[in-house]
Formats: sequence, structure tokens, C-alpha cells
Amino acid sequence: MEGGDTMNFVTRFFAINLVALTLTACGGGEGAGGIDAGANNNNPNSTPQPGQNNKTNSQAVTAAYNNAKSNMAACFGCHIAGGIAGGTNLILDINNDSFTLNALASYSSTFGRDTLLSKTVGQPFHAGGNVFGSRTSQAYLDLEQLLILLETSQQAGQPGNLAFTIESPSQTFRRASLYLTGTVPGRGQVLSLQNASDEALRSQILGLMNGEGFKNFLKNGANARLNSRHLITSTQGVAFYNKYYLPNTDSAGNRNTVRRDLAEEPLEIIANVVMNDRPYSEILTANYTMVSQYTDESYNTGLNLAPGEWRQAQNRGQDVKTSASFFRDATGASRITDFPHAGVLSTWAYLSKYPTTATNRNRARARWTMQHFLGFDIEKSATRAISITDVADEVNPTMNNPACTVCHQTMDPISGAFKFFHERVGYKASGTDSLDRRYRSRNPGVDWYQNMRPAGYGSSQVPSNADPLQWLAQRIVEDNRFAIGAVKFWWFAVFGEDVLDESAPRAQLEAQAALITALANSFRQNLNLKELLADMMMTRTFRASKKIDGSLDDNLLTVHMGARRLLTGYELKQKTQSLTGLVWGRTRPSLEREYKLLYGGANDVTIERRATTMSSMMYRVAERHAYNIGCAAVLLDFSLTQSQRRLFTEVENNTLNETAIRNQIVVLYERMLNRLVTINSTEVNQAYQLFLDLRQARINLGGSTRINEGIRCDNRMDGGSLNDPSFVLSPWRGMIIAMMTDPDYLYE
Amino acid sequence: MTAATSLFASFPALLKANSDYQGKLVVTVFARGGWDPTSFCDPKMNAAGERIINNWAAANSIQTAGNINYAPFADNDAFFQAHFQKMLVINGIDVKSNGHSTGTLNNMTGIMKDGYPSIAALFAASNKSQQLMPWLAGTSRPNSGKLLVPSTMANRSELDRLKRLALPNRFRTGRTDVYLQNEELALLRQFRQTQGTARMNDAQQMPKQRRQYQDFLAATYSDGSFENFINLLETADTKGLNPNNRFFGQAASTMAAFKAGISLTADISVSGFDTHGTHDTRHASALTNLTTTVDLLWYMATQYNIEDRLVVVISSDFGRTNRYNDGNGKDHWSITSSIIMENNPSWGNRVVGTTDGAHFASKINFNNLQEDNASGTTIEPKHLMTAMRSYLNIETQPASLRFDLDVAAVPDFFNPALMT
Repeated sequence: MEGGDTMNFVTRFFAINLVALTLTACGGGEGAGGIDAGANNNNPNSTPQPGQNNKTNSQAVTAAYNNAKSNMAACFGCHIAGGIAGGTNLILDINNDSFTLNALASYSSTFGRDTLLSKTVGQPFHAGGNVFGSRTSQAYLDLEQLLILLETSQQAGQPGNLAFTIESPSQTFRRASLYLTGTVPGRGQVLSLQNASDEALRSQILGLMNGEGFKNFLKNGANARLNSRHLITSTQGVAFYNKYYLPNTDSAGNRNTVRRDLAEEPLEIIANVVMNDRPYSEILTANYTMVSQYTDESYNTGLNLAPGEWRQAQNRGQDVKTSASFFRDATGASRITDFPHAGVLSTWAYLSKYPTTATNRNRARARWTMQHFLGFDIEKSATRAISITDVADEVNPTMNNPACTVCHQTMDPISGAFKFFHERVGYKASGTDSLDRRYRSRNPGVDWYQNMRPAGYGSSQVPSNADPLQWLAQRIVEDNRFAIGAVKFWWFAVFGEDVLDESAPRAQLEAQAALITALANSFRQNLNLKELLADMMMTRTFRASKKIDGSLDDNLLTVHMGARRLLTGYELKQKTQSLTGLVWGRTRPSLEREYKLLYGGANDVTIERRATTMSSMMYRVAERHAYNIGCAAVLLDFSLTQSQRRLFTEVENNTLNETAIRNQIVVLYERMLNRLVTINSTEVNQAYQLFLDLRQARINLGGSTRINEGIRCDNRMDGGSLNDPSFVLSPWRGMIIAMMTDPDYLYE
Repeated sequence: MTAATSLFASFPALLKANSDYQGKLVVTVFARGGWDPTSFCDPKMNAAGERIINNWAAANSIQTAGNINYAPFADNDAFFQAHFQKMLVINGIDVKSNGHSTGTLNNMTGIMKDGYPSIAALFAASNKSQQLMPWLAGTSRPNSGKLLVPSTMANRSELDRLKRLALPNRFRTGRTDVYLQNEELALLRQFRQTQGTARMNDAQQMPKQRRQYQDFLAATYSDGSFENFINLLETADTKGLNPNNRFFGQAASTMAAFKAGISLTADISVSGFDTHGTHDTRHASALTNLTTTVDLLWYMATQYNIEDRLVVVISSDFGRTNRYNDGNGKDHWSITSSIIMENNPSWGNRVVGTTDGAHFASKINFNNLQEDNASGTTIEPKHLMTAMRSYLNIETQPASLRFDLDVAAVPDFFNPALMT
């Protein structure tokens, strides 16, 4: 049996007391704030105190314990004082939650979390046998979440988690606005939140979540995961017309537009749910789809929508055509009128992203459905070497060989739930099923492969009176992991990177896992995505600014990122438009069109993930963007009265007063770079010198006093003045270009 | 020196002084989806009374180019006859997985674990000096190990845009008007370097923030090599092949970048190999794309006089089953092959590793490379990766040591006197 308890007193004392504190702190007087462990801190200059409690974290532990405890009857039966396992190192008490939590924390800390978890599935040896069934069972997962939370609670008082400051509320609000709405708020609004409370800041962030900008955030964020816009360029959309939907027009242009809107369909479903404050689960359980002006005719909705309008509707347009004749049901109809909508899952764009075959049998659809909506990567869940002997097993290995069933027992029932959607995506392709022709001809009268597990979820099978995909959707949203999946789904849109992988330092991995769990636990209460997004943006992770001490080893930090990420091409375009009123490319934004891929964008087909780091090619695009906009931005702003201007609020086109120029530079640092600098700081000193040098360079050039002397200046005002008699506009032009090619302009 | 202080440096000092790189140029060509070695470099005939492994074997026999056997399938004949002298074929590699993600990871990095770099990333990180885009990636999720930033491959179809990016300060290609005068450009660049470096060197920066500033400053470096790359891309002789083709275009872009000196390595991806249905037709097409792409690499390398520096590594997620399924497709099989190529190497025209008639991997003696199922060892991707690190002289570099593959012994792959 294992060795004695080697946990030292200090650690054990700390663990016991911290766990006890977290359990008893419920109902305490702390204000609303960040959901991650550690201090709620809206003062970047204060030093967080070790061991400081967090109300929300204690709630997370309590919630996790309740979940885990409900599956631990067998554990409590043996692991009690005087019980069968009374001589082991794990003694629990079903009537004493605090005692039990301490025991779990202590065992996990001493012998390792995996040691404890492995015993629940009988590995490598457990006298009590395999109690939890598998490492993917709900019981196992609930206990794992609890242990992670307990470990992080222990670490909350250690320097690593609290060794950094967070940005000011105004900086967070500005970033939130840029991500969520595509606009940079006005300077007055931003600065008014400089000392806002967490509650006030969160309320302001929630207030951003409406309108077209927010809808774009939702759709772009969802597409970054689902890649549904693959349909715009891939060939999958062609089958839509060729096989199942009577064309509403022969115009190639119209077909391209229909394909484009088919790509938007799942994204519109998600946006519709979130913007109308419906439970997020509806993205899968919705018994409708979203149609546009171009798709409503194909779907036979009769809605006659206006351009740009999207509305809920039922798909009554799919024909089922076998060779030259139409399949007709008992009533003589050839169109499917009972299409079983299951939100995103039944859309053409989603299903065609993961095509199936006679042997794949919807397994790719199952794999990605679990990844997207449960946050569960089945390939990584059981990454282990398998032998060629197992691979070569021909006796239905996915049913019988343990090397294969470890994954297939979970995946294949979900695959079955997609059974009525054909490899070419159509519903009930033959009229009654979507089996491949060869199998159907040999196995008449069945609607799914008889040598596979029946359609279901976990140990449950789809009832005979239920539509399998709709039934699956319901099971998924009822799964505890649905909330975890939602957090992971939106993580990239908010933080600009994937969740950490196993190569990250252990402390960071565990802190992130705890944070995800805490966010999910809160989200699970009402499944309101807006609340979740606000919670994510209130976390210390999102707002992390600087290490409190420059000598602190990076490896001690439990958060690696700072409060900036590389802006997407769309966000950069929006930022520039917001700050200057101008768009590169005007009505055909260059950063979203011709330069999209060169600026690190994805095409959702061969490039599924946008770049998250700056490359040489991307920088050249950013330069081109700045050069194109810089001069026009200066001219446009100075054509307005000072009170109307976006940028140049402190100077006029002939101002040479040093103090005024420095004040203007301070404003530009805040407006353009979201940096708060002071008038005599090193940065402002350098920028002021740059202003002077640029001005002198312009004077040295000689010639006329027009701003476009010797250079290209795209004046967007068509007739506006290019005069620069004081040689002031020219250096401001250079300053704007300098700022638009600054890393803090491109990363925010 | 702690992690917090180890990165303190002025930006120029982060780069090596050598900008005239004349070392090796490494390209990995990945057959995405799981290729069928039994229809390529590890050909298998059908056995009497057993299920058919290959339909082509019904009427054809295994072909040979030098010491290398190949299948009479697709355009294999032209490829092997033209390039067998360059080749080291490694058969019987056990990937120990039949999952796409895991198999790809294992073959690209040598380990079934996230976070490790591919050989292309590792080599570029160990040898880069002032190249603009040291590592090109034609894949969606390149394995960087966070060592360096991959650059997307530019396609000739984007030539007009690329020309504008070659000289971003110039208003239009072919015109002389500019957005900034030279003196202004110089002032802005100096300002950006000064402020960017100061922020990067701020001891209180969070780790990711610091890396972002480093990546940014590296991205701002500019010399005339990008313009040279554009010119080469525009005028590239692609042997009559369509330079806008998504496979051939990667080859053209890679070679132009190598010749211009802006890149050291590239990861190229050729898709279409996951042939669960209608295997023969679809796999022949995919293999033809693969061999044409590799052939184009060598053709252009010769045109640019860099063929003696080029190293090509061809691999895939895994293999395909030794039988057809009900849809005339082949499913996943954890035994695969790889091919390493160089121009007239001493170790060329050789095969290491073997499989039996049903494409099960045989064990080999790592010292004499002879089949030894009693006491030998099965070749795995980690052996190949470790051997490549050694061959490319990067095995003792800090990045390689950081991403140790923990391999006790590797086959003597590059010993010209030995062959399985």
C-alpha cells in the first residue's frame, strides 16, 4: 500500500484552513467581482494579500463538491473510520463535508491527483474495483473538477496567482468595447470609468452587448470555432443544389449568394439565441433555423424577406430525389416537411464541414460535436500507443477490442444520432434513411448499421419515438460539460488564444482549469452567454497587466498572458474606422478582402485558424494600412471643429506650443494605443522629439507648403484643404502613421 | 539568470550577425490523411487465398529503381526513376496510432504530446539569423513549440498584392510616388524600434506580452530580400505546372523564398489521402499530386542552383489497411513509411526497415539494420526525428535539448554501408 502521509504541517494546515474558509465564507460581504481565484482588484497599485478569500471561488468548490459527492456513495461506504478501507490513507465522512474535503485535498496533494483518480477506475489496483466506470464518466469528471479546485484554492495564497497587477477599469472597458462592438468608445466615456467598481464595470460591459457590432462579434467568434464559412469556397455547397434542393434560380450569382447565406446559417442561429437572451442551450435545441432573403426560397418558407433580413423559419424545401424520379411519401409529396431541426447541428454548413463515408459513419461529426459543445477532445482523452495487432483486428474492433472501445463506446452512439444525415448532408437521402447504398441493399429494413452501437448518448439509447439528432441535442445541453464546452468555445474569441495545452507549466494549467470550472459553474446557473462573456472579461486573466516585481520568475506566475492580443483584420479595420472615421479600401475593406489571408486570416477550408502572432508578411500589410490612412485621417480630423474631432482635441493646424503638443501626444497615446502616459514621460519626450524631427524634415524638403509636397496623400474630403503653411499637419501625419504601426495599436 | 532576466537584451543583439546563410534548406512534405505505402514505396503483392491488398497487383508486379522497390501505380514510375539516387526510404514505421491528430503530431514532432516543434520549426529556430520568414508553413496548425512564428506561404495568385507589400511605402506598383519620404521613414523606424524595445525590455512585462513585442520587432525587420522573393516568385519556372495550384504553389513559393534567402525551412501539405472510399482512383490522384510537388521542388532547386542544400522529408499521419473495405476504400493503419531526400547523398538509393507481406512492421537491429524480430526494435517516428536532429547538427542546440525525445538508440539510418 502507499507510504505514510508526507505532507508537511504547514501545507496541511494551510490546506485545511483554506478549505474550511472557502466553505464558511458563503454569504460573506464581498462585492461582485472577478470569478477567478485571488483578490478582486481594481486598483493596479495595490498589493493583493495571500490567502485572501474569494466568494465566488468558495461557491465553485461547494458546487463541485455537491456534484462529486452525489456519485461517491461507494467511496463513503468503504473509506470510513473502521470500514473496509479504514486502514488506507483516504478516510472520508459522509456526514462531515469539511472533513471529507480536507481528506481529498490532503490525499491528492500527497500522492497526486492522478493516483486518486486512477483508483476510482481500478487502476493500477484498487481493492474496491472500478467504481466510476471510465475516465469519461460523469462521476470521474466531477471528482476531477473538485480536486483541481481544491488544489487551486491551496495555491491561491501563494505569490504566483496574485503576483501581477490588472489594467484599469477604463482600459478594460475600452478593450471590451473593441472586441464586443468593433468600436473604440469616446475618450470621455473611457476616462469616466477610471475608478469604476467591479460591479459598475461589469454592468458597462454587459451594456455593450447589443447591436450589429455585437452580432458580428458573435458570428465571427463562432465561425472561428465552427469554420462554417468554409461553404463559401468549398465544393460542399454545390451538392446542396445538385441533389436535394430545387434551384430557385439558374443564376450563378444567386447561387453564390445562397451558398454564402448557408454559411451564415449556424452563426445566425447562435446570434439569434444570444442577442435575445435565450438560454444558450437553444443553439442546439432550437427547433428552427434562420433564413435570409436568399435561402428562404430554397427552404420553401414563403417569408419573402427583405435584403439583409434574417428570421426564424422551418426548412420545408428539401426534395428527396432518387435517380430520375422523386421519392414520394404516402401522401404523394416529395418534399420533406418534417425536417428535424437541432439548432446548429442540423445546418448544411455544420454537417458539410465534417463529411462522412460508409466507414466513417458520422464519427467525425460526433468527434467535433463533443469538442465544440462539451469541450471534450476525445482523441486526446485517451492518447496512448496502440499496437498494430489491435489496428488489424477485423472482428468488429470498435465494438469488441478494448484498445478501440475506449473511445468508440463514447463516440459511436453519438455518431448514430446523426444517422439520418447523409454523407452529402441531405436528410433521409433515400427517403427513409441515409445509409450507403451497398449496405442498404444488403440489409433492407434497417435505418442504421447493425454492427455499431445504437444511436444514443452514454448508456442511454434514443427512444423509438424521438428524433435522434434532436434527442442528442437535449442530452448534450443537459450534460454538465456543456457549460465547460461553452467556456472553451468562446475562449479564443475573448482571449485570442486556445486554452493551454500540456506543454504549459503545471501551475498555469491548473489555474486555468480552475478558472474554466468556476466560469462554467456560474454559467450553468442561467446559461446566459452575455453574462459568461462579461465574467470572462472581468477575470484577472483577461485584465492582467504587469508583474508586481520585475525580478519575479515567470515560472511562478499562474497566468502567462497580458491584457492584449493581436487584433484580427476585422478588428483592426473597425478600430481604425472608429478612431479616424476611415476604412482602407472604403466600401471593400482591404483587411477583410484582398489582404485578409496575408494579414493572418483564415479561409475556413485550408486555413482554419487565424494567426495569433505577428509575422513579417503581416507587418507589411499593417504598414500599408497605416500609409493609406495616415494623411487622410489628419486632414479629416482637422477639417472639423476641435470639439467634434476624434483625435486632435488639443491643438490646431498651426499650434507649435510645446505644452499643447505634448498634451496632444498624451491624448494620442490613449486614443490610439490605449496607453496612459504622462506629459513628461520618456515616451512622450521621444514622441515630441519625433514631432520636431518630422517637422524639420518637411521644412528641409522645401517646395510648397501643401501637406502632399513630395508624398502621396489620399485626401478623402474631395476638395478639402491640403494647405500646411505652419508645417504642422505633416508631422502629425507622421505621428499617426507611427502610432498605427506601433505594436500597441496592432495588439489590444 | 532567471526566466525574468534571461531575455533582457537590445533588439539587434537578439539576432545573430550572419545574414549570408549557406546552410541546409529543409522542407517537410506531409501527405495529409494517411497515405498508402503499399501503393508507393513499400509495395505489396496479393497473397494467394488472402484478401486483396492492392488491385494494381492483379496485373502488375513490383518495380525497382536502383535498390528501391516501388508500386506500379499513379505516376510512381517517373518519380522513382528520376529521384531514387536521392532517396532514403524508411519502411515499417509504427506510428502507434490510427487517429489523424495523434498520428500527425507523432510524425511531425516525434512525440504524441502537444507543444513539441516540428523538425522544420526546430531547424529554423536553431539556424535563423536575419531571414524575414525563416519558417514557412502551408498547414493550418503548424507545430512551433513556441520557438518562432511561422509565416503563411504566399501564392503567386496574390502577386499583385505581394508586389505592393514588397514596397509598402510606394503608392502603386510601377509608380514612383510614395507615402513617406526616406528621411521620414528612417525617423519612424527608429522611433518604433526605440519604443518597442523599451517595452519589450520592461522587466515587469507578462511573459506573453514580452513575446509579442519580440515577435513584433522581428517582424518589422526589413532588407531587400522580400523584393527579391517577389521577383523570383513572379518569374519562377514551374515546369509548365500551374503555379496557383494549391500544392504546386507551395513548392514554388518555398523555392523562391529559399533562393531569396528569406526562409530556411518549410512545411508543405498535400491533402487527399484519407481514402475510406474509392481508394484506387482517389489515392492515385493524391499520390500524383505528391510526387509532382516533390519533383517540382527538385526542379526549381536545380534552376536556382540550391539543389545541394535541399533536404526533403516526406511523411504522413499513418498508413492504410492491408485490405479494401466495402466501399472499395482503405481505412487507417498504424504502419507507415517516410522518405528522406538529398541531392546525391552518400546514403541515397537505400531502404531501411521492412514489413511483411501483410504490411505488418518487422523489428530491426538498429546497429546493422537487419531484420530481427526476435530481439530487434520497431522503428517509430521518434527514432526518425532524433536521427534527423543529429543529421542536421541541431541535436545539441538549446531548443532540441528543451524538447528532448528521450530516445535511447536510433537506427544507423545514414550509414551508406547498411541497408535492410
